Amino acid sequence: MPVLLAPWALIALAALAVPVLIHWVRRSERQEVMFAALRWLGRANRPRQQRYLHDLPLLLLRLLLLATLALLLAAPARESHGEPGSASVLVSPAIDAAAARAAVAAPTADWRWLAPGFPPLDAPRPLPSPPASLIREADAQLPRGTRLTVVIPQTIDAPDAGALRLAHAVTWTPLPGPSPAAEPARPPPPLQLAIHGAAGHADSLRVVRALAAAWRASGREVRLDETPAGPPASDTALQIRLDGSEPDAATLRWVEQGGRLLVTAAGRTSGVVVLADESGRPLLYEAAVGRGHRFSMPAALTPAAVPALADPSFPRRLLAALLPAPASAATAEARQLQPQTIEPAPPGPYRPLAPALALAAALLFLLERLWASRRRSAAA
Amino acid sequence: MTVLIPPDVRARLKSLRLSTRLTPAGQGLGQHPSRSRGAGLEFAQYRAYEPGDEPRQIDWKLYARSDRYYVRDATRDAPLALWVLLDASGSMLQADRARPAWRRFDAAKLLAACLAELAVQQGDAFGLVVLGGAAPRGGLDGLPLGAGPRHRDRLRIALDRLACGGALPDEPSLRPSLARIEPASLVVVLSDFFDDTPVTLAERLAAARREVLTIQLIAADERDFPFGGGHRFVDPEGGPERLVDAEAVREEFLRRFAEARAGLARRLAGAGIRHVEYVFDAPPDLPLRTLFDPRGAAG
Repeated sequence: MPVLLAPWALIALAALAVPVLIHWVRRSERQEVMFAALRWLGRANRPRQQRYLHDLPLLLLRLLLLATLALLLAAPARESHGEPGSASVLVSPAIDAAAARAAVAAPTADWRWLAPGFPPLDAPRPLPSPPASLIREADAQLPRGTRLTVVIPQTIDAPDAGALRLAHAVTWTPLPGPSPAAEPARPPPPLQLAIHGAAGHADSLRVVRALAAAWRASGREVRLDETPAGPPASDTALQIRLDGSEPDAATLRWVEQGGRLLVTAAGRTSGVVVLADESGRPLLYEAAVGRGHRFSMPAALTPAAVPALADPSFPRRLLAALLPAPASAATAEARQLQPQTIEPAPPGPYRPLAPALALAAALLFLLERLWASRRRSAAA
Repeated sequence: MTVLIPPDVRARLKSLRLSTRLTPAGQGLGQHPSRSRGAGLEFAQYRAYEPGDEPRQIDWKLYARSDRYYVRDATRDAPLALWVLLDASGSMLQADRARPAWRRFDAAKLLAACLAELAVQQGDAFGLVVLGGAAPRGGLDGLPLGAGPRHRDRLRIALDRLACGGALPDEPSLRPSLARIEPASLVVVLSDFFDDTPVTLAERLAAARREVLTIQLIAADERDFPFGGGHRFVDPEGGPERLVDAEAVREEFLRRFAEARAGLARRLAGAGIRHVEYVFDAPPDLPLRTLFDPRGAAG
């Protein structure tokens, strides 16, 4: 049934007053009479203000035209209902097409790939994409009453955080298929650390070596370069300045292009706190410099200055703060993602009625022009 | 559109005769009594002899019987010169609302054609003078004196070409166009006589020994004022419009208009001009019958 998607636009109906005012004229001003014996016509009163609506058919035409235009502005639309008995089957690209056809008994349905653009199943298999948003998109586009079947592998790659709440009742068909996690995960690259100012800060250097050992124990390969010369190399993951000195211009350029710099015993700290001890005292600050990061630690990296060093979880937390790992691909079991149907069904996809109304408005305008010009020639 | 006289009107015109109270002074043969006495065609009267008369005009037989000298007078008919003065100013554009295609100017042109028809019937000469109008030469448009059916056709063509509009020029500037009108001519002025100019012209001609007849053309709307409600009245000769309520002004207008018409009739009668009013939705032979019917009281 038709609805108005922008009902506040009906305030344009106030324009209907304009033709009424135009047609609401005094009869006297309309009728011009040629009268040669004007000099004997007395200098009389003004005529009685008889007002009336002249040319009623034209007025009605104009009112109708304006009402149609106002209705067009209010964007009328109709819920599109599919034919009864229509069905749609969406197959995840991770599933083989033939296996999907065999599993679902719906030969007359509309078979499509669960991929952007929803290509038909006859098209070559597209690349896999996260299914959740695609399922929501299909649910929004399909007319009410269509039976929807979704064929997905049993382990879904990259579900998003929200549960699937759909307007259609979906037949959820997990099929065994190649799980996306079959790819072997590449091991993380070795950490290359460059240490400046090691001379004269032997106890800080010992702490750094201890941290590196702790990181190696957790499975990360770490290499230390204790006497770097010149600007940091491109594969250096982190430069640590133990003496609190500011870096030179070449190092700053390296930081701006995506490098990470840690300055301990820093005289100047800026940025947000990314690490604090148990009592809440800030230990590590992070500031963005170009595309890289500058970490500053106000205290020197020694057990006396930073008592939290003794905490067994400190190396892991420090590594997480300094070098956050990329988010690992989450997977979920398909049956966990069984979508729920929203009751009552939300208003379905709308088919706009604007083209039909625009055609009607154009016809009315043509009629109104014809009528107005015809009356004028008849009166002339 | 050619000015055509309807057949019934043409039939009724046959019973009318142009005549004038003044005696025409033209030369040649015509149907009107003329002043030229002496040896002529018809016996008119016996007149006592006066010194200066020709001796051969003395009727000796009568002298033998009465022993007094009598001169025999004969009449010689002379043609009449008919001049039609046609007002072509803007006020002639007035038409009735019931018949907007029949304007005062069209009725005046039909009257002129009827007058020409009468003149041709009697063999008299006729001419046309147009007062005002949209002609580039102003009030000097018209037709010179001529007689016969061919001149009547020339008159018809001239009437077809006429257009009316604008205001009348004042009387002194129209005097040259009237210089062609000889004394003892018959002048018929066709106008609405709302302005003073045609009245003054008629008076001037009448005072200069031309016989002047005036036909005042009036619209039925002007006589009755049938309008109702508010109207915007526009003068066809220009000037300000009047936006009035018709019922409120009707009584006063009818009174003032009747007064104006009566005043005009008095003034023209005082100048010796025969005047008739003609509401131009009536057939055109009505005013002509009033003026020229030989049997009627206005003879």
